[in-house]
Parts: sequence; structure tokens; C-alpha cells
Amino acid sequence: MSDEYERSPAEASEYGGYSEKQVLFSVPRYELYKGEMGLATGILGVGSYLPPRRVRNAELPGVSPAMDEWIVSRVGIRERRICLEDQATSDLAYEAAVDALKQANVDPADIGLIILAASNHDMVMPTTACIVQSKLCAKNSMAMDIRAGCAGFITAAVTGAKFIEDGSARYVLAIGAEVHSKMMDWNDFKSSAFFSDGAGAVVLGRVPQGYGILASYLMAEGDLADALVVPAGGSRLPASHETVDQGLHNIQHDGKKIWRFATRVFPASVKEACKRAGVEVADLDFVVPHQANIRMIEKCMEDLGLPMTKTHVTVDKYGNSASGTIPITLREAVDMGKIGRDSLVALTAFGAGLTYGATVMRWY
Amino acid sequence: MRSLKELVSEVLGVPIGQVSDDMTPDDVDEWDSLNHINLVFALQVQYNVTFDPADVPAMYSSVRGIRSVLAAKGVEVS
Repeated sequence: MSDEYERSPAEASEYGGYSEKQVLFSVPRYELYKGEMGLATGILGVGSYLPPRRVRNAELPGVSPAMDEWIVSRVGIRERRICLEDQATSDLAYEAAVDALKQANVDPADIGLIILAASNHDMVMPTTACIVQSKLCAKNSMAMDIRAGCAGFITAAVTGAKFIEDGSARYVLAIGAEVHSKMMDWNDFKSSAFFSDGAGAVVLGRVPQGYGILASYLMAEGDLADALVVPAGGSRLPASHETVDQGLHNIQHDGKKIWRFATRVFPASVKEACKRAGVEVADLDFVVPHQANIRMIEKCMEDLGLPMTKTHVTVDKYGNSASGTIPITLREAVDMGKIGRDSLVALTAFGAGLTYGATVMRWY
Repeated sequence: MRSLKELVSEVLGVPIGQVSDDMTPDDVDEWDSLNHINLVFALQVQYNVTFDPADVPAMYSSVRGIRSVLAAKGVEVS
């Protein structure tokens, strides 16, 4: 049915340590995997990567102790992670992917789809997912990027799960990675105090019925697109000396508009996903929200009628790494034993677009 | 030296005609808690003052509130 070959150890070391096992299918994958279609789809492994550079509030240029205290009190961020000068989005994504693959004990050659969410990609073209595919030597996968801002990871995971559900792929690697630090004005505290770099990933695959993703809800409100933008560098406003001089390649956001949006859609999307899953919000064991602002998380958990003990906060030490925050936080919560077998978990996010969504799963 | 209204207008990106002593963060979307840090920083540089932790939330009340905090530090601004 298939023909396989292994990459030699010498060749493997050249490709980040993974041996290549390319499977040349003589039958469509759909036929191959549809026998598993009675099973559910869930997360088999979760990984993360945090860049080594820690930047405390006091280390931001010009921040006084009074300003530091204000940042902590208003958004809950004490420090953030920033990538090294020579690191790009794919480098962070690759590290998170390797971690997730190890947790799931899945070989990259068995991945059928890599779907990567980011805003600041390595290049305009090709996709960052293809660069990660090459680094992983995941020769049997399709690879594509999606853009949904901070809701990117959830969008990637929910979309990726569909490929498993219809038999197109046995395993899917969904990655959220972000390098904000190279698309912001470090003299603008609105960005420098808020955004960070980081990546997380999950391996999706088949799990027994009753486990895995129970229901999801994804939505967009494009009328609010101007609330979170990087104006230049696209076809509307191509890169020029003027766009660079005017700082139009930097991220710009309307904090109040996003606050109003997020505090509306965060609880609403969790409620809708729970409704679709046939479970009560009160039955949720854990909620992993996008990490933008601790006050926002507190307010939304309160609106859901859930205590803060049912969530995990990482924004205080890692900042807002957009699509990276959920898998980073999920990984930490799993490691700490806050999420385990049978836990009813909701993931929820909102971001540029504006986009939002939630997914409810029974942890396997 | 720029007037307080000029400084607020420039940092928040609000037309100067819209800036008054009565203007509060509720009146303009641009005056959010993070942009307030940019304003505090600009005030420090412009008027050569250092703020205490309690000053920062006190100034997140109105332009008049900023004027009061500055006055308490001996800085009279136009």
C-alpha cells in the first residue's frame, strides 16, 4: 500500500534531528483513514516555546516605577518574552512543534497537515507553515498559514480538526506563533508594554468517542477591522520610504474598542460553544483564554460565573504573544496538573479581524 | 514650552479643539489605560517631574486632574 524510506542519521542531523520517513501513497489518504472516522478528534500533545529574553516593565525604555505599577495594575503584565535578533516566527514555531510532537509521541512524517497561525510571518511569501514543514522534515503534510490575529490558534486547531474528521489526515499540527517585537514601535508604551513573542502548538489526532473536541464556534466581525491593524506592507499600502518613516509597519490598536469587543465576545463564545456541545458553562472544569489582559480575564470569568481557580494566567510573565498564548498557557496548565484526563476544557480567543471563537473539549 | 492641552492633543492624537479641562478618558477612545502611559511619560519629559504611583491613576481622571497633580508638584501649566 505504501513505500517508505528513512533518511540517514547524517542527513537527519542536517534537518534538525528528525529522520525522514516519506510515505508515498498509492491510495488516497481519505481511503486510508476513513476506517478511523468513528472516533473523535482531540489534542494528543501540546508544546510551547518561550524566547529566552525576559524584559521586565522597568527595563522598557523610559518606564518609571510609577508607570510600572500602573501597567501591572491595569493589564497585569510584569514582564514579557522577546525573541533574539536572529529568531524569526518559524524558529519559534518549530521549537513549539517539536515539543508538541514529543508530548504526543508522533513522528513528523505522520503529520498530514501543518496549519500555522501568525500575524508577523518570516516573509510575505512563502508561508511560514512550509518553512516549518521543511525544518521538521514532515514530508507527508500539506502546510498552510492562516491569519486570525490572537484568535489564530483556535482557528487553526478547529480548522485542522476538520481534516482529521473527514479522513484527510491522521495527525494535524496546529501552531500559534508570534514575533510582535519586530513590528512595533518600542517608544510607544501602548505596544511595548503589551505585546510579546512566543509560540505554542498542539498535535491533533483521533481519541475515543466522548473525548476530544465536542463543539466549536468561530466568528468574525469585519466591521471592526480598523481596531487592530498593521497598515502598511500589503497591497493597499505597499512598503515605501514614507510608510517606514511614518511607522506604518508597526502594530496599532484601539484599546477601548478591543476591550468592549473582547468583554462581549469572550463570555458569549464560551456560552455558545458549550451550548453546541450540550454542556453547561458551570460544568466546565477549566477555561484557557487568550492572554491579553488580566483584568479582562477576571471580568469575563466573573461574567461566566466561574471562579479564577478554573483558569490559568500567564500574561503576567509572558505578555501577549497573540496566537501563541493559548497553547503556551494550556501547556503550563497541563504540566501543573490543572488539566487532566476527563477535564471539560474551553479554549477561547479574540483578535485582529476582529475574530473570535471558542472550542470545548473533553481532555484525553 | 507646550501647553498642557497641546501635549494631550499630540500624545493622544485628539484635535486640540476637542481638548478641555473637563475632558476625561471616557470622552475619547484614544485615552485608554495603555496610552495613558505614553501621556505620563510625555508629562515627565516635558515638565521634568517625577510621579509617584498614586499620581498616575489620579491623572487618569481628566485634564483638570493632570493639572492638579502637576500643580501639587509646583508645576503650573498653561
